[in-house]
Amino acid sequence: MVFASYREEEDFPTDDATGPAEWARQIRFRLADGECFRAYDTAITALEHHPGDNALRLLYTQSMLRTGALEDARAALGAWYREILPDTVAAPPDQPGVTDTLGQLGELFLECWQRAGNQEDLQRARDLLLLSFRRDPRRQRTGVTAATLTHLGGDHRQARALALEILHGGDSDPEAGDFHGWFSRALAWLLLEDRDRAWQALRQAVAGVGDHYPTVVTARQEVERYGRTGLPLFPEILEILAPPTVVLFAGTPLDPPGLGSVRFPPALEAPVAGAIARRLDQLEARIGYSSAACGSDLLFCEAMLARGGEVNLVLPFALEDFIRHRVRYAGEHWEQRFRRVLDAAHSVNYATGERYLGHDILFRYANQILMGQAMMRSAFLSSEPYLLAVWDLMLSGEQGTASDFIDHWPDILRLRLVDLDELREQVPESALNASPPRPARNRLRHARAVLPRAIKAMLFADVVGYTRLAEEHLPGFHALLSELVNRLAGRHPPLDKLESWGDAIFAVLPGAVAMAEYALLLQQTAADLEPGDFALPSRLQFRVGLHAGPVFEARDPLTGRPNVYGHHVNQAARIEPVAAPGQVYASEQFVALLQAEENAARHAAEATGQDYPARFEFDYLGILPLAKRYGTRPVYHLKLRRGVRL
Amino acid sequence: MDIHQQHQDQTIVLSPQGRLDSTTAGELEKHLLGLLDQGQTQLVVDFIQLDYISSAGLRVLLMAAKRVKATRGSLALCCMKDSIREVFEMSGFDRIFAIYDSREDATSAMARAT
Repeated sequence: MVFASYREEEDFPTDDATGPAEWARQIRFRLADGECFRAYDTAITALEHHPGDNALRLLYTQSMLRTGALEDARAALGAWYREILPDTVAAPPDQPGVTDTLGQLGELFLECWQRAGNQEDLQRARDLLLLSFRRDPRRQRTGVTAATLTHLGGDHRQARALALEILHGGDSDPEAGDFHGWFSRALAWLLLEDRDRAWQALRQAVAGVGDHYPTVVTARQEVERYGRTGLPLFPEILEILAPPTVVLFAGTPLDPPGLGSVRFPPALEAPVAGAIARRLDQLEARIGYSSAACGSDLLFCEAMLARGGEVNLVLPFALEDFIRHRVRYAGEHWEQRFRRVLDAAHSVNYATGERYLGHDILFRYANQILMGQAMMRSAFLSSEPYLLAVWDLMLSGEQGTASDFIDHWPDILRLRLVDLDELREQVPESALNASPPRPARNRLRHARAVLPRAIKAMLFADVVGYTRLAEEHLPGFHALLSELVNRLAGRHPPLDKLESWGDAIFAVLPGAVAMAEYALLLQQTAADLEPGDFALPSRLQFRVGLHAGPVFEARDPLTGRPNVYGHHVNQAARIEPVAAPGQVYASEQFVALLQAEENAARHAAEATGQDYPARFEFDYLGILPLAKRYGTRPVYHLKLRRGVRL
Repeated sequence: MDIHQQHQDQTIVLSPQGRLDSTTAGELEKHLLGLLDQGQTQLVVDFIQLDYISSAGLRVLLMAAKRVKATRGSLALCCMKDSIREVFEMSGFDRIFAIYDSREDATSAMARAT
């Protein structure tokens, strides 16, 4: 089962014959497109082919940094800085590659400083960028960044001198469409506090970018950095660089045969399409996240594509099952529209590769994944998503419906509604009831559910080195586990399930935040236990893997205890073996749920004037092969944010 | 969640307490639907003891307003804290509900409407 697929922008060669320059081009392409996780994966593969290549090492570090692994990236950069700086400073001006390396290293230290605020990173960034600019004064972008950092460091006179040098260095204005040329000029004029000229240059720069969001976002971050230097930040300047609006969609499908009441009949298609288009216009929507059922989901996707926007799909279960249950009943033309949207989508994800089996909980799970993905994307774009829901206001919140989605949406201010009931009032009753009869063979048939399903967060943990313990260590090992349990008691929510078989633990909780806390508490408490107190040769360390997904619940026929079953339990079990000792690794689905839950808590706190500092952070580790040939999946390293206590 | 209920002439005033979020909205929904099923058509929801309302709470109020309207009745909201009022105004939902500063204003408006 392929969990996710992305539309390729280009065909890239990735065989043994691919040279370092081609690999670098691929990584840069993905980084420029904001696909930092894929860039990181590509960089790892590239370095396997060309381990000593400096440009690839730089791009690997840059990709790592973009995925959020700040500390690892800083460590790699620091070592490299000490290793190569003496040689590069002493290198003759015409030595190829040196100016590039200095500039790229400077940019990476700058990115580190922006994320962590370490003054040493700032100083190194400024020195490296200035060295690069001095070696090649045509690199205006490098020069203007060095000038900004010089201003930040307090040397305003030298910063202004550098800005003037950049503005007067070129023979003429940059050509139309030259983003870097115009943007460098805009920044230089900002340093000189000339608002009008800065605004004009910035307009020229943005005109050359079009809808390339990562460039706009990076440019905005760079302009915002000026605010931190004490220079005035003009609102009209930031307006030009507004991040794209991300819209998450919660829809109501066309009435299935045998519904018994009129909610969304075919006669309502045009009014609903019109209402969606108007809302998207008002929001200036550029990026959409949605499912793709017949009816309002597909109308939303089509409207987004029609306005040149980007569509990202999350389907709640296996493709053919989805078509059978959520598309085909409305007629062949809806299936054709579905396939067109699928082809045109920027990304297609499946919440689970399992079948539907009549479990509506899968729709809720898919909604949670959608919400988490939209929030992660928005955070990357310095934006916040809106929820647009096409909804019958008269209906209650059954799980997985638009009502249910609204109930779990954290921010009323970013909620927009299209009321189906209101639209129905605008259509003659005769038209509403004149829906063409659909063939009986297309009637919805849900398979009888054998077991109930629920969304659960799951933990698998395993003691590192257990098999190497000698028999005489077992009493101490048991005493240590008892002490671990005592110390954990009362410090975490009641577990739905806790099983152990010697050195392994399987725990189940209903929420991702609660499970993240439990997992990190387990690791922290285990690390605090002194092995000498238990006559053990080494400290107790767990490998911990986390996953969340819909599972089947039943009483175990052998033990009589409640248990969970299914593909997602297996997937959770396959993450733990790839985890590093003492660390907590998590699946993409777990991280998406965690993100959605944390955002909901943050909004609830803010609405009552309280503070809700984010508690967790996660570094992307790449698409890793899971244990027992379970295929490859994106895996994240979950950590507690600095300063946060459990 | 605690929901106080009072009769004032033909109007029923509900005062939910604390937080109206995805955990508690179901209780208010059940309470409101129960009243509507009994044929009650004049309802006021008093926000005086409400500290927070989430999208789930808003949805329940929107649903109740729709259902009351379908029976030619009315639903009003009153006594919102500034922070909640601001959310309604900024999101535009203040245009959907009749919102009053005091319970007296809300019940008087109800009485005039009948």
